[in-house]
Amino acid sequence: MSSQNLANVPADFQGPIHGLSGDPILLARLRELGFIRGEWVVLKGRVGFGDPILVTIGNMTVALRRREAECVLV
Amino acid sequence: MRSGVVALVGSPNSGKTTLFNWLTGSRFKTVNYPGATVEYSLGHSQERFGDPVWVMDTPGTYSLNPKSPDEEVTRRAIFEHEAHGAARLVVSVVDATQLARHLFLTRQLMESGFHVIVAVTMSDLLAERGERLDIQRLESDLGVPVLAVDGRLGGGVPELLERVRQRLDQTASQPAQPKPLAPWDETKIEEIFHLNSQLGRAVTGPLTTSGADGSASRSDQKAPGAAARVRGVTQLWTERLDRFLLHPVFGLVFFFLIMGTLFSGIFWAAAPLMDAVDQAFSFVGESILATSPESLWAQLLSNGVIASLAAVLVFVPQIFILFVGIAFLEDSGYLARSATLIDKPLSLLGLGGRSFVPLLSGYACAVPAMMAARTINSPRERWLTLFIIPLMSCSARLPVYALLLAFVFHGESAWKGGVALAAIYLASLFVGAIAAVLVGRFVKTKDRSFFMLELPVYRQPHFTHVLRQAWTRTSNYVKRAGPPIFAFALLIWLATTFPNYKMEDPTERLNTSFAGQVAKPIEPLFEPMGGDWRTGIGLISAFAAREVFVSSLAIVFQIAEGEDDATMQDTLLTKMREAKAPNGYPLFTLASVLGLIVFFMIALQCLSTVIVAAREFGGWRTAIVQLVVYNIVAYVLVVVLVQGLRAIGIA
Ligand SMILES: Nc1nc2c(ncn2[C@@H]2O[C@H](COP(=O)(O)OP(=O)(O)OP(=O)(O)O)[C@@H](O)[C@H]2O)c(=O)[nH]1
Repeated sequence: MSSQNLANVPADFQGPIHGLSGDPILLARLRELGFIRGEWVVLKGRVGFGDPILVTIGNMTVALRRREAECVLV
Repeated sequence: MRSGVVALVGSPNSGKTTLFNWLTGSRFKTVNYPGATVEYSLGHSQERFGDPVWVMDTPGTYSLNPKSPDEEVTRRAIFEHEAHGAARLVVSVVDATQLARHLFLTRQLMESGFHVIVAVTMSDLLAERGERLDIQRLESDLGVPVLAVDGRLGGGVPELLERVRQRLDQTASQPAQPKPLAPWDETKIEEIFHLNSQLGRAVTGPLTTSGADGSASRSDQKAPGAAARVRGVTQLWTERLDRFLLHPVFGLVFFFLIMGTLFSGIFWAAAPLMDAVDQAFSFVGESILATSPESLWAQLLSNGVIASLAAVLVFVPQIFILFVGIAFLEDSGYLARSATLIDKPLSLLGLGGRSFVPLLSGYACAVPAMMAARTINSPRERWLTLFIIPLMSCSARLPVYALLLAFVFHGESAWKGGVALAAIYLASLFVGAIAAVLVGRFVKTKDRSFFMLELPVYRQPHFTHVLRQAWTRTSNYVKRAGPPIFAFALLIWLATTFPNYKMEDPTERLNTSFAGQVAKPIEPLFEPMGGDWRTGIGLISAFAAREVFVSSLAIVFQIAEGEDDATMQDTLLTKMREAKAPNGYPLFTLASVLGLIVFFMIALQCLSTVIVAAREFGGWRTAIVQLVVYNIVAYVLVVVLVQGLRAIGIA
């Protein structure tokens, strides 16, 4: 498993999710939103104050706080 | 009519409310903001679709293991509705472009033991991409009926209802007995999700061929294929707009521009309307009084009932305009973006992006604002948001500030008052921020706050939609806040009129009234604030609704009718200037008026807010703590301010 997560990858990142790790409640919600091992994510950028970050997964764009993005290993 | 309720359940923004409106013919708000439905609504299907059935719209939820209060509303409404019990049938509303994710909830519903029918929405967005769904295949795979409905034109709705009735009859002898679902673990979620993605890919095919082929080659083109997916025009536009609207720099500039426009709009557009409402009610009141000035009933009707009604209704224009603005932003899809943009600064205060809409609504009225706070999924953020909403400068404070500022800036150019008013509004933001930080220290709940907001595609707002949404919310406000405001306003009138209602001299009547009897002994309480018992009556009556302060001052200072040469306000200002405190000095001075302004900024004087707060906090305790804390803090601050100013020579 790689040590990269969605919060520390370069701005033009895209790739599959390797796994999730962190607070179980956060993980449960992330999974319900479709952050599942093997799914393809594209980093879209950050908003004005540097947080949240924007991520596309499936057909959907989601805004994630850094803390949440850190749970998504890529 | 068949018994039992058919519940519409689906992820946020899947199109439930739109479908509900088609089914029932009602005009409920449908908005392009995830989680806009915070309470379920019940209605029956339209007669023209045949034998009606009861339909329930529920707040959007991602799963049956709720993580926010509005999701909990859904869970309770479908499992254990207090009047109808468990839902007889669940229509699982699924966005055709989000099949893999949305079918997740469908599977949970099925596993819980509900009778399920799937309604697929947004097929037009799929068609934009040149794709279509193989409904038959989806149906045979899921093992439950699946129907497509068109949220824009209403196609498929009669067929859906026909199916619903069929299912209701088929299952009449064996009603669903759903069991609450234990949270699924990781492997189960992954398994279901993969099942759904595969199914999604298998049933989605190009528009041109008659059916989608679910061959292995399709389901194999996994990750990279998904990224390179064809985009529909709606999605393309959304991406283009977002590049600008969520741009690190322009995004913020645009955000402040929009909010600035919304705000100034509220005030400029609403002012003449509010005046009109006010004048209309004064006119009716005076006309009634003119018919029989002596009759107690005429007085009750005019000064009691009509004036109290006016207290409720003057704010309607402003609240309506605010809601039009919010509805417009919601419908377009921008509101979710603005919540995202503002999340960081708000989270420094212990709040979050989802607190933004409730706080914004708080500038119109705390009552709808507190209800809007249900979409905040983190208990801590929601609690804090509820706590500081009353500090937002609601419209009921405006008449009070207007009067007090007119007093301070008497005879000076108008812009000074305007600047001062803007300063008060900004100051209320600061006070709110400080309160959030201070109160946040006492909230010890383990913070599980998360943001994770889905950004819907941009849609062109429909003007009629927007107006309807704004109207629904405004009438909700009138229904909820109206009765208490009305009741308290009436109570204050009774207390200031009786027992000596026969007395000729209104000032004497007031002096000896119940209110006077209550206020006089506690006059020492108001003296350090730079007031006397008359200010006290004003402040106490402001608990009905803040703006009642102005009208009760008018009663206290005996604004006689018929002085046509001066407006009500001028007369009142003159009387205020002439009023003497018990020690012989002027009652209203710069210091005491500033004190009053600060008091109105902080004190929680609105009893309808307290009632709603009790409901939203889930108990009276917190609501009463909130009431007591804000009033004590306001009082102490005002005393310090007034005495401090006096100490340095500013009376
Ligand atoms: N293009 C298209 N738009 C639709 C369709 N159905 C609904 N919409 C739009 O999708 C948005 C969301 O619809 P709602 O009915 O408010 O969704 P909801 O599921 O009730 O949302 P919540 O109340 O937030 O849970 C609105 O802007 C609708 O106008 C459809 O079939 N096609």
